[in-house]
Amino acid sequence: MIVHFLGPFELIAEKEVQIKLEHSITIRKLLAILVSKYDGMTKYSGVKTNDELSAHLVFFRDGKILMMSDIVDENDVLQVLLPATGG
Amino acid sequence: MFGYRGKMIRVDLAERKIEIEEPNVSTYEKYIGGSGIGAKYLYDETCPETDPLGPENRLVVVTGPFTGTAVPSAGRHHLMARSPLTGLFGESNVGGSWAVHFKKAGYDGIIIQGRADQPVYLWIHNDGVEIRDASPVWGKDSYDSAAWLKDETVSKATVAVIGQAGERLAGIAGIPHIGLIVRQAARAGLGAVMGSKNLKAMVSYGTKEIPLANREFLNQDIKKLMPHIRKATETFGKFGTAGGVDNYEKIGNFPIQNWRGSHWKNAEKISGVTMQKTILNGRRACFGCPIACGRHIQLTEGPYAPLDCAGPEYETVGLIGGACMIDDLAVICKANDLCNRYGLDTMSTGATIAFAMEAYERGIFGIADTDGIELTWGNGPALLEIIGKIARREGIGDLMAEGSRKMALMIGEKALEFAVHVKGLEPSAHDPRRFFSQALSYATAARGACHNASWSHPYEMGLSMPEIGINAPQDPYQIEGKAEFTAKLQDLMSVMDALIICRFTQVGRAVNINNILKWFYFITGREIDLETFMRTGERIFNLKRLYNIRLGTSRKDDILPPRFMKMNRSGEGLTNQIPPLGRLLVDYYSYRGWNEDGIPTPEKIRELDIP
Repeated sequence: MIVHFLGPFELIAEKEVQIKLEHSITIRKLLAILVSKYDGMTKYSGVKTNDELSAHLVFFRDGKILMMSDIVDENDVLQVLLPATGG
Repeated sequence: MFGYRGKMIRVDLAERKIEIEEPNVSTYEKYIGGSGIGAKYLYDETCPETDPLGPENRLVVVTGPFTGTAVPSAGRHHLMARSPLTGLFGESNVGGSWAVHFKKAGYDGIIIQGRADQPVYLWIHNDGVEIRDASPVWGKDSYDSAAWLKDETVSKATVAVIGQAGERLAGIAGIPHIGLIVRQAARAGLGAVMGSKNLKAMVSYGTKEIPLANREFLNQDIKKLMPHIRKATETFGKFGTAGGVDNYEKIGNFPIQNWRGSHWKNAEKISGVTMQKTILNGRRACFGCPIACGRHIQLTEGPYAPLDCAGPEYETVGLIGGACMIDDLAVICKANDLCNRYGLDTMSTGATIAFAMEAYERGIFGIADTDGIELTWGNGPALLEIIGKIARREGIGDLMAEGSRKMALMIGEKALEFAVHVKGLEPSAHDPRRFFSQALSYATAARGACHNASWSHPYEMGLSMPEIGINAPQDPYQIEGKAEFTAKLQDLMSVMDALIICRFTQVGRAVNINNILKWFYFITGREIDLETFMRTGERIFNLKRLYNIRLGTSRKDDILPPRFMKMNRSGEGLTNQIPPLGRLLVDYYSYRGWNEDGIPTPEKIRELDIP
């Protein structure tokens, strides 16, 4: 799986990182992997719900915003972005 | 009555008369405050014959029970009048510190009628209300005027003041508020209503404590919740509203080239993240707000330096930036500053310029019509020049000052195809092709294409509100249940605008409805349950609807512009986006208890006990 870190998340990891997955996992699990792998992500270790996720970061795939229980797999290309609420 | 002053100021500018009224307790109980009480006054005191720019129109400004208390992000007020831009119910909600001073001076709201025979301002303070001469600042911009007004009154006062655009009755004129922070009651042309009354400003400064039912419990409860609020809104506060630009561009919510573009790589250059990395010179907060989403920017080099002022919000970046293809953050900051000075709504201004750029591109008018300005996409200097012309109503600016609908009607039928507005109000920078709740909300909101009427897109992106049955975020393209989802959020936003509390307290569920109900009890001593709370929101929403129905609107007006109904954009993640508005409206009217023409049924009106 490829994860693109965009905007301020570029400071957390390289712009594009590869995560090896042996089977499909949820966004919840992926977040836990990223937290364990990158120091800059540890501040998101407390993110457990969709509400909390929506306040801090967005996982995005093919035009769709992903929720905690959404499934991702080895072939996915994801983007990690700032959340969005606008004015 | 706890949490209120129990007093409304009535000012007749023609008679130079000031009276204090005491509304019935039942008015407060039924409508709470803010947009609720204001809508009731406007409904009762204006009629279909009321000219929006005539002396008989009312400008109604109301605070809420939360205003001036320890409730976070509640230093707000709601302004209403029959709108010169749409001809319908006009409203604008604004933060800052004006409302807090006003309420601490001893009042819940103010109703302004008549037209002064010379420019005046209102000075509202602990010892009363005065009508004073504003001739020395008539013709001056909002900042210069505010400085003079503070010299004449109190340096710590907050000033709600129009610029040249409001004085010249521009349909897209707003009301800048200059105090702790610069905020603008931008939408629906309310600045022109002030201008039509020869009312340059309303200056407020008050220090009297507001009586609360249980101040100690309120403060303790908020103190306990504050760490959670700060954590939930940390990212939002850090990058401001414009922090969403990158994300919105990716998902197809960002307005690009008058809403016809799909993706635009240059959006990154004008985002809140770029702002934070380059020109941000501090954050600013409205009174009592722990979020501090306001930006302060500083340009020290380049053609627009020096510039040290309030920074642009997401909506401004979207409509002056994306919609006009301006990819230079410095130009957007300069445009934002000009709009604040002239008192122009940055959203309607950006949208109208984007519309004019497309008309120019199509050859509907040429350089001879624009006084030699090349109104091409991305032309920053041209955009800045045009803003000045709009504010001064010079040349083509005179036409553009009336917004895109009136401009399209003037320049010809072909232009109606790409004039993007609902009921005359240009949309905020959220695309209804990306969020179907936004389509429904734009079509049915009283003031036109308003995303704040439902503020529903965050609930299609991750937020939940289980208290009202939104247990999980709803798919943006889901049709089944969309009407109920949107209507519930419209009712919730209506009651939040009555209390008044900022929508951004919902970010990350920083504040939930149970918190709000508890605080309402601590402030007013009145215990209301969830059903009464939501019913109040529904009552307010329906009252605004009835206001517009009385003016002749119905199903025929609940439409979206051709650009949203015919143009399906292409690009990554963008497919099948045309909102099924007909189906959505059928469901929506049915859920609301309105007839097939979108009119609340007599049963619904009785049930809500309106007007």
